[in-house]
Formats: sequence, C-alpha cells, structure tokens
Amino acid sequence: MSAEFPMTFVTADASRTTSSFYWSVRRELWENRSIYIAPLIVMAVVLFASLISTIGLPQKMRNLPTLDPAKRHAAVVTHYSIAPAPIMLATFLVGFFYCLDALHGERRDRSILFWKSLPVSDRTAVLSKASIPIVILPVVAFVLSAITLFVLLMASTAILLLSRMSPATLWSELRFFQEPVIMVYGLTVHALWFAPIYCWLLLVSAWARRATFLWALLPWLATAALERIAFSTSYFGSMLRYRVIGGMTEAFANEQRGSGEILDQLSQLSPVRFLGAPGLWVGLLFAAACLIGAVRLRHDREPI
Amino acid sequence: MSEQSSVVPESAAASLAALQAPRPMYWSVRRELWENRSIYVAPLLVAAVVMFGFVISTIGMPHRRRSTVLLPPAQQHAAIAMPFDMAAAMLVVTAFVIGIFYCLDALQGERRDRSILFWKSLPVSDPTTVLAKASIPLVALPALTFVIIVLTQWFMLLWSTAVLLPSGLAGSTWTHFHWFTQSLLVFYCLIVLVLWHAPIYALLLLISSWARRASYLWAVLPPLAIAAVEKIVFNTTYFGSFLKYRLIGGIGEAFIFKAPHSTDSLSRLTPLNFLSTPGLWIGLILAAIFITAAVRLRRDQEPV
Repeated sequence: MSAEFPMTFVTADASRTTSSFYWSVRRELWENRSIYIAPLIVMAVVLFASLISTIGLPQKMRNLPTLDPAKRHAAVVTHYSIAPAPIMLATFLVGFFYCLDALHGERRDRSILFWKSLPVSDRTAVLSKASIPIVILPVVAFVLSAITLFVLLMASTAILLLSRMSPATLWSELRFFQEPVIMVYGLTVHALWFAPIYCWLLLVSAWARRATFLWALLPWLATAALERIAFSTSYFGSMLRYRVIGGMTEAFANEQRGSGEILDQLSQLSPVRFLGAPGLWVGLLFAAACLIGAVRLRHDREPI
Repeated sequence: MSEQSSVVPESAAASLAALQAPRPMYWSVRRELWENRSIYVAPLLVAAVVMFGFVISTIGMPHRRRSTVLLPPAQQHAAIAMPFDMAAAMLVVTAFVIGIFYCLDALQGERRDRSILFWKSLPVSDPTTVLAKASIPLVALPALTFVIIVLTQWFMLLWSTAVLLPSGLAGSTWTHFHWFTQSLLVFYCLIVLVLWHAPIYALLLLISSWARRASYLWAVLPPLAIAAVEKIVFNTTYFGSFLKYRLIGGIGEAFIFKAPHSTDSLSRLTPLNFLSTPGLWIGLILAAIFITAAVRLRRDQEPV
C-alpha cells in the first residue's frame, strides 16, 4: 500500500497538506472496506425486497381511485420514501463502529508505528478519520439512495407499461426533483447533528486501551443513572435522547402534523430553525473539543 | 482438568500431582480476566456510581420517609424498594452490555493483535479456549454481578438504616426490603437471563471467530437487513418481535407480573413455565451449535 503513495510530499507546503489529507482518506477507505461494502449490501437487499413488492404495483394502482384522495398520495409514495431509510441507517451504524475502531485499531495492531513514520501530522490523520463519518459516509448514503430510487422508479414504470397502464399517476405523485434535495438536506443535518457523537467516539478510541465501546457508553449511562437515583429526575437522559433524535425534530417542520408523515416536500424543511438551535452549536463546539483531544492523545499514546 | 485427581486415590502424592496439574481451563479463564479487566472494573464502577447516587438521594430522607409511611402499603412498598430494584437492574444491564462486547472481541482481538500465535503455541486445545471464553458471559459475569448486586444492596440497606436511625424510622426499610428474598430473586433472574441469552453470546462468539474486521457490523447489519426486507416485502414485523422476544422474553416466561400485591415474594417465579418454553431449549441447542462452529473456526482461521 505504501508503494502507492506518490512523491508529492516533497512539493509545496499547501499542496502537501492537501494531498496528504487526500491520501489519508484514501487509506481509510482501503483499510475499512465496510465503509462502502456494508451500505452496498444493504442497498442490494433493499432493492431486491422493493423489486419483489413492485410486482403488486399494477394491482395497487388499479385500486387507487377507490381510495380517499388524502391517502392516495401516501399509498403511492410510501413504498419509495422508505427505501432509502435502511441504507441511511446502515451508514450511521458504519460510522459509529468505524469511529470506535479508528484510532484504537491502529494502536492495537501496531500499524500506528508505520503510519507515524510517514510525514503525515497527527492533525491530518485525525481529521481524515473524522471526515469519514461526517463527509464520506453521507455522500455514500446519498449516492446509493439516489441509485435505489432511480432503479425502483424505472422498474415500476416498466412494470406499469408491461401491464398496459399509464405511469402518469406515479410520476405526478412522486416529486422527483424534490426528493434528492430533501435527502441532501437530511443527510447534511444529521452529519452536523451527530458530529459530536462521532468525535466523542474518536476521542474514546484514541484514549481507551481496551473495550472502547464500554468507555464510550458507560459514562453517559452512569451519569443518567446517577441523576435518576440521586434526584429522581431525568434531565440528562432527555438530553441524550435529544442528541440522538432531536436533529430530526429541529430540521423538519413535521411534528405538528403527527409522526408518520412522509417527508417529500420542500415546505417541510426548516433550515433556519435548525441553524438557530443552540443544541447544534453546542454540539459542534463539543465535537471540536473532542477532535483536539483526539489529536493530542494520538500524539502522546503508545501502541498497546 | 480434574480427570486425574478424580481417578487417582487420595494420597499426598496424588494431591501434589493435582496441584501441579496444568489445569488449562482454570488458567484460560484467569487469562481472560487478566486481559479484559473491564469484566470486573465496569460493574464495580457502575456499582460505585449507584451507591454514590443513593448516598446523595438520602439527603432529607427521614423527612420524606415520614410522609411515605402514611401511604397505602403497596405504594409504600414501591417507594421504598424502588432504589434497590433499580440498582439491581442497572448492574444486570451493565453485565449484558459487557458480555456482548466481550464476545464480539474475544476471538477476533487475539487474531488481530496476533497474540493467537502465542496462545496456539501453548498446549491448550481450541475447545478449552473457546469454552473458557464462552464461560465469561455465561458463568463469570453473572456470578460477579450477583455478588456485586448483593453487596450494593447491603450497602444501601445499611446506609439508609444509619440515616433513618435518629428519626426512628429505620425499621420501615427492613420491613419492605427483604434482602434474603431479594437475593434469591436476583439469583433466579440472572440464571434465567443467562440461559435465555446464551444463543446471543454464542452467535457473537461465532461472528467474532469468523469476521476479519468490523465484527460489530456483522452482528448488527444482518438482523437490520432481514427486518427491512420483511417490512418492505410483506409489510410485517415478525422478525422484529422475534428479536424482542429473544432479548427480553425470558423475563416474561420466568416471572408472572399479574399479582400486584406480592411484589417481591417468591410466588412470582414460574420456573416450570420457563423450563417448558420451547424457545429456551431451541436457543440452547443453537448456542451449542454456534460454539462448536466457533471452535472449528478458531482452529482453521489465521491471524488477520
């Protein structure tokens, strides 16, 4: 692998930083193929399942006029709008486990000795690792979700045409150009909202000698339990809950119409409220502090 | 391990031979405890946190207890026994989490840091090693958790007695918290959970012996994918409820919750119902199969 590193390290300083960052990210993708393979597998599974259930589409479209007009839209669109959900969930899980292992694994298999011998700073290494869950994985999720939606739509159209029905209803109900915008927005929101979680995991991964998962979870759970036992309150627990699912409620204006609403309209987005949420900025500050800590720790810690 | 000592008649020479026998199983378990100190450090930390929280919560306790003893007996009981139950529940959950992450790392970690080359050079068979590793979540962790829970509850009992002594209400804790019955309950509950969760631990050991990387993902993604396929194709959630049953169903089979008056009496236990649940025996057979497969894989797999 090292043979593939180009000799650009000896060129000018700015381009050297950029290219060492670029190759560090490439290194992560080579080493952790699960970053793209796991979402790909989930995409294949989801596509397979969705295509099977597409067989029943002509029947459903035939029954459509009998439905209440208010439910008609949901009946057509639900099938398409839930398809990307497992893919996105898979990328969150991949990011979670990737971060826990990122700085711990290289100390454990002692490859850190090799990586530190290269002229790549600790800051570049840690930032390239942090960019995987915050930048690369959302991009992967978006590309795979868009491909899934496109294939599904083509297959549905083909099946409708084969059974001599017009795909016009399908195309008019699906908001084909709003869907990708909403996916990009949703993924960006979650990348920013989950950034403190990922960075905390990176910090634990840089610090813990073993059992990274326990050290990542236990302090939070113990604090919540302490509060519950000592004061019989659960402010800390609701704070944790807000961090996990709060991004969704801050970024989408759908809670007044009840959950279960399909997100496919641009009017459902509330970017101004999201950017004004103090939780976002506090979280990003926490993320930055964790990253600085992780860089320090990577600098000081030895292989285990 | 004790084969020799049981065959040879009792004599000084025989006991000396027994002393000098290698006892690989015993030392394999000791090795696991040495290598993974989180097995006992994490429950002890949680116990310390629980005790600290309880100590804080006893500030102003005599005052509150005076109003509690005026409540109807059932509510009185619930209010007084609640912290004890919660302490036990916290420690049981901690043990479960530790067991899960221990199992996921047990057979992969030693391949990853190549220490398996050393361990395989010792005259310890693969079945012994895998059984020693399986015995950590199945025997060592429950035993340790039981001891820690009993000690924690004793501490809480004595502390609340000491706090309440000046006000003369110390007896109210003792009448509502029967530590002997409670210990029996905890013991029974831990055994039930271990038997019920045995296939989960065994499956995680199998994944850990098989996966080259990202054992967490291999443990989490397949159930997620199966649940997604079922939801998309059939719009049902049988697999999800099956997983839920495997996680918490054992408690429902082993206890009866319908009688509200007999809160911690032993009449709530239904061991016969638990032992006659087909899910228990199917799970145990699966656990045996998984462990056998893990032994095979440990013999064949190479360091990663």
